[in-house]
Amino acid sequence: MLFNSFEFLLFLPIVFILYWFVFNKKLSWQNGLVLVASYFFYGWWSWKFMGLLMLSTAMDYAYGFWVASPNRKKAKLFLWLSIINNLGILGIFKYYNFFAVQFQKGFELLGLHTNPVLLQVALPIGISFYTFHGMSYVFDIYRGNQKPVRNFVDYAVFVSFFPLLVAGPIERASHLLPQVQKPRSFKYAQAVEGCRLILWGMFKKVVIADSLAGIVDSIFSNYHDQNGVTLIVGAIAFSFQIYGDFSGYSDIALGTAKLFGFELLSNFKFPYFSRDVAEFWRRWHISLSSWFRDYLYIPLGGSKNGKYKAIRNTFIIFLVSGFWHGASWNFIAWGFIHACGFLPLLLLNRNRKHVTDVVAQDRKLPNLKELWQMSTTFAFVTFAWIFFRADGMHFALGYIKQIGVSIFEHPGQILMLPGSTTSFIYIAPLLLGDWYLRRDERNLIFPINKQLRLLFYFTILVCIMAFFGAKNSFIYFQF
Amino acid sequence: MSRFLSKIIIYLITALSINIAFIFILSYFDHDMIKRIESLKFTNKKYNALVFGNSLALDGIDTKYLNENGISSYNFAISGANIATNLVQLKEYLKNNEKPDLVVLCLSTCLGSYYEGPEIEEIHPIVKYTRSFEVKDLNFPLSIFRWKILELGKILFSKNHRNAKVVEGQYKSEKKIIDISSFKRNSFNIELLEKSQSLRSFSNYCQKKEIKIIFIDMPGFKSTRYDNISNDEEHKLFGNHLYPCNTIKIGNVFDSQNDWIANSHLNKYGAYKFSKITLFKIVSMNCSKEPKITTKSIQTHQGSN
Repeated sequence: MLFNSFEFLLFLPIVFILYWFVFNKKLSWQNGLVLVASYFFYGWWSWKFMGLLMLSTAMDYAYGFWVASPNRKKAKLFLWLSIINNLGILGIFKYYNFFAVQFQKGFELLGLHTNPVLLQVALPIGISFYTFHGMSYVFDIYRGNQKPVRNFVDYAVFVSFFPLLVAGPIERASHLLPQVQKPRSFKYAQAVEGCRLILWGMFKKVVIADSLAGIVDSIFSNYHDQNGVTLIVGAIAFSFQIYGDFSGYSDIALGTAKLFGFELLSNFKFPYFSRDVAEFWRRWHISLSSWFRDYLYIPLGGSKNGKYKAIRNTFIIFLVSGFWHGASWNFIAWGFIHACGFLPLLLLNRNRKHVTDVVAQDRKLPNLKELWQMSTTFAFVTFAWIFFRADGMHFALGYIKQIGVSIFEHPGQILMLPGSTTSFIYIAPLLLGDWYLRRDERNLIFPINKQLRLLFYFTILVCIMAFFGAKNSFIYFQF
Repeated sequence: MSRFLSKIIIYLITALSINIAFIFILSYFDHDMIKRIESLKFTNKKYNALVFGNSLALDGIDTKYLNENGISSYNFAISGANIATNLVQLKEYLKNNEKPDLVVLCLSTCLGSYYEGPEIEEIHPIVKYTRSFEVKDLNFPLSIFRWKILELGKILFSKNHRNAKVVEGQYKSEKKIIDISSFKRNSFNIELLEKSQSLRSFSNYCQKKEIKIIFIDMPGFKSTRYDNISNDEEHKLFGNHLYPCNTIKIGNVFDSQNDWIANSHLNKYGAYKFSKITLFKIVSMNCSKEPKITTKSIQTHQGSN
């Protein structure tokens, strides 16, 4: 079930009413309802893969107890079994065909012809997200940061809670499970905040991202026939499309969770106002980058064992992060490019320069230095997005080559109006809204008087209604 | 909780009201919708000729002129309509009305339309959502007719749009744009039209219902006109007459300053010329009607324009 569908507009109020008015007598009833609703939500997309979700949930629930064993050897053994199981599921459904084809190509280089069996099965939606949920739970228990949960329903709600089930944010057991286990009461302010997030998220997805999708698709699918400047516009438009799409999804997820009394982790903090790549990664898909930091980078030694290991570990997490997004070389290249952008900051010890503050913290506008830093970071990130959007490495390199060749042959085009300038109509409200809100991603109150604020909300509502119904899936559903 | 729910209900009611108001405004001010509602009310009508097509036919076929000269006719064309939509309209009409003598299906090859698209084409929203309702198509009217928001804006801000009228199904507007294009070498390719499944379906349906059908390729801007055909040759499409009117000879009738409303779209002056000089002869010949053009009728019509 998509957030941007009528089914969800019907599903959400029904579950909300049942949750607060019918099942509100006992916490276990509420959690039971959330679980049933979550499975229904998932099953609406495909009942076939429900079994896989349940199996994965049951497996990690059981591993939780085994990993908690005081016998550390036994605990470690089960930890590895859990990792193998989870990565095994991911490997079969997401990566098997990729590796099979790579082996085939490798053997062909050696002059050996092989004919591997390829799986003709769709990627189960949300598989990368719920397996990472389960893994974080087992890791936390192994480290002693979390106790195994007795109640299976509570654990299943943690893994399958419908707002975050298919595209995150990737929650931590230590953050979400206590909320599942604690009685929840309706809070007006929290619910209103939730509605604001849903409204803004829906606007970002339905109005901005889906409109940009048409422009981006037409440019990328015919890149051979476009001039260089139009291709640059296409890449910029994709930067905002994916941001509107994914951050829109995350906002709706956070907002929906608030309606049920849950607080989820933030996933985005205005990443395009970052002043360097390191800051970008503290602001983009935060739940995933922090997951890799906590469960991969730090266990590998992080940056504490000398420069060589820090560089190695940096490249590992960026490459793995790229591979997590898809079993294709262009995603790995995307991760590699980001690692290369991160490397100078790491070597110069400047990677933690902008940890807590936000650009133009106490000012209305950025200064020239900040503007330059934001622009160069955005240009770098946009360049990397070309690899992310492309259908393979050949495509990405062809796209970049076409930009270079076209501008080199006809430099005058830089001064002319590029094609697809309509994309800027959609980008402008996103940038302006984000700039206004940049100090707190959850506090979506525009500091204007009540009447203007109402007018603003209704304008957003009208825009959403006018653009609703395309039922375009979210980009991150494919991961 | 009650405070929260009451706010949500207020928002829902407002959202619903906005959509209802939008439909209401459309039905009173939007030309497509007015015409659609008008044509849905037809019962027991008997026309000599029914005109179908897209915006080129909507703007460019002066059915009032045909009516005043003895050929009862109605222009069913809708801007942006495809052939599948035209077929739905014809079927709807035949349910409650008598067979026409002739169906005129207007083509727009000057805009590059060769109807080669998929066999099952999307029905135009104006026709689809005023015909029947299916749960799978549930959506906000604001979204279904989104492009109409801009059209309503044009009506609000442009005098030409405000003064435009729908007469016998034709969109009559005084708006003028200049055809600044110049002649190019263009070839009319009937083979591309012969490949079209949707055109074939439309033709087959008419033949099944024993209704005579003719195809008229609408005139366009200078740069689109064909130089490889003449009007005197006989052209056939699926066994029916095809009249390619986007020729240099027919195009010479039009004044590049005054006869166009948009790219290759005739305004009411251009439509009048086209209907008087070319179309009337074609339709009357195919309807087996004797031309009844009188000086008076022309003067009356010019006066009404």
